[in-house]
Amino acid sequence: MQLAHSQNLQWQHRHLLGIQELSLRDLQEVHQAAYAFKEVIRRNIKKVPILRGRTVVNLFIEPSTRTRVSFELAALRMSADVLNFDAASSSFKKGESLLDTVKTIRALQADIIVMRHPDAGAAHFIARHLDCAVINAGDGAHEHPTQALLDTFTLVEKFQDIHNLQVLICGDILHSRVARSLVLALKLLGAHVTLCGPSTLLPPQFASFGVKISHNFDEEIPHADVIYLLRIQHERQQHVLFPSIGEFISLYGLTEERLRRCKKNVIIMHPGPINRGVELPSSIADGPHSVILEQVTNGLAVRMAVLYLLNHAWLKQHREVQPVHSPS
Amino acid sequence: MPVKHPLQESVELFDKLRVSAALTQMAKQISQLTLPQKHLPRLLLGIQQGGCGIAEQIHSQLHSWGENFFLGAIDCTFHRDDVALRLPTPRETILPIGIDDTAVVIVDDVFDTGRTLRAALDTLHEYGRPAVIRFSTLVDRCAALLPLRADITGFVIPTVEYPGRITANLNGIFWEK
Repeated sequence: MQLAHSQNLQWQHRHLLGIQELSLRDLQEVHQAAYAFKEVIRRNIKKVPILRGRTVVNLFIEPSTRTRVSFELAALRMSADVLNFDAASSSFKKGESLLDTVKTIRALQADIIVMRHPDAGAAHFIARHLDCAVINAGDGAHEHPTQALLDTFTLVEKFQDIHNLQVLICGDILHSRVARSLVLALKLLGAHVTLCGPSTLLPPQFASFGVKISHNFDEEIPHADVIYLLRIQHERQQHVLFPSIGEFISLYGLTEERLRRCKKNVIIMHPGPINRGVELPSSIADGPHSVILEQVTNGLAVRMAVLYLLNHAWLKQHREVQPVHSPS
Repeated sequence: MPVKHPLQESVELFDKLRVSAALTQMAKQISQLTLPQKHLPRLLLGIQQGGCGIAEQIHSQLHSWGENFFLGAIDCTFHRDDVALRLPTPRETILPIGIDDTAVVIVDDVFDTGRTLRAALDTLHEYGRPAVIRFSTLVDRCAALLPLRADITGFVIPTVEYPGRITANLNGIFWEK
């Protein structure tokens, strides 16, 4: 890894709200730490005491399986105490505001709040009002930073250097927080990104990210080193944005026939959950080009890395740090 | 005791030839360690990051004598007690064999307060139960704050005589301000 010779990490962020706030060095530090945590989760005893005494609260106002479970397991593997809240079991139903809910959680001495919310900017909002660490686990169609960190970690593991790598992201870009965060992270790492999808799901404004915009999947696939497929997010669509699922598959679905026209060593990625038979068939999702389950495993390591880095920022803020003997 | 000029950043206490000779001597002592049982698999583990180069050098010396040792690395970042003070870069632990019923020799560059060794022992026990663990260091600072000691030492450079920081690697041993 790039930071192998650096004695200490330089991470300074108190919160992880988006890739937008991160530098290339920050990204590399998360990857470096994730590399070490990936080894921890393969151990016989998969637990380290680094978050002993910390309380991590998962506040998921929007449904989630893999992200919530991944954060929960990451915190447990690091010996933190974990509390899970969701919209159904919290006082949101009684009309309590988001700020009152998180202030209540903080008053119970939570140290790190992991939040998913349907509104863009929700994590930024609570970070401004709380003195504990906040991790954005997805805010509306805005950002999903840990997904981008785990995706880029997976790519760095596969390709070592992803500078000039051709990454094709296809599907519902408009509603995808994953796509936004991933594009920002890939651009920081120097990859070439092409966004592809029907014009109703891929507005031309996305070109401002410094990426290529395309509406022709067939033209793009032979050049891609990585094809990243996104789910159609029916839950975020206010109107019907394409004529039918059948037409979407015929134009933008990754079929076996299309896979034959890809590069021999192409990598297929998907953030999950997969609509099997829509973005891609089971034969490809479970096939040799797919790294979808590796993404899930790497997600755990990356979330442990993020908790490790934010915990240090938290400790720095809450403790008087006395200089001591240089430990060797 | 070499005198440091006030503006001088670092003083070479021992050059690479002296270090090389010391490592050969350490390798000899490691090969002669008394083990509780004969024929235990032997594993040399460098503490990330400073101990790894030292362990590699000792391993190649042992290998040239026909002594069979496995070589690995251990990272103890997640068991350190100083994460509030600094943010150590975590690195990989590499164990070429399972450590149950093995003779493990932990190798580090500088043995100072003993906190790193404590963290390394805690980390090691997450992987299994070695039959015996020994500790070897290129430099002993005689400043342990924990009830731990080195079994095999290359150089003794006491903190009381040489306050400040000692850097030890294959290129030499340096005393820094």
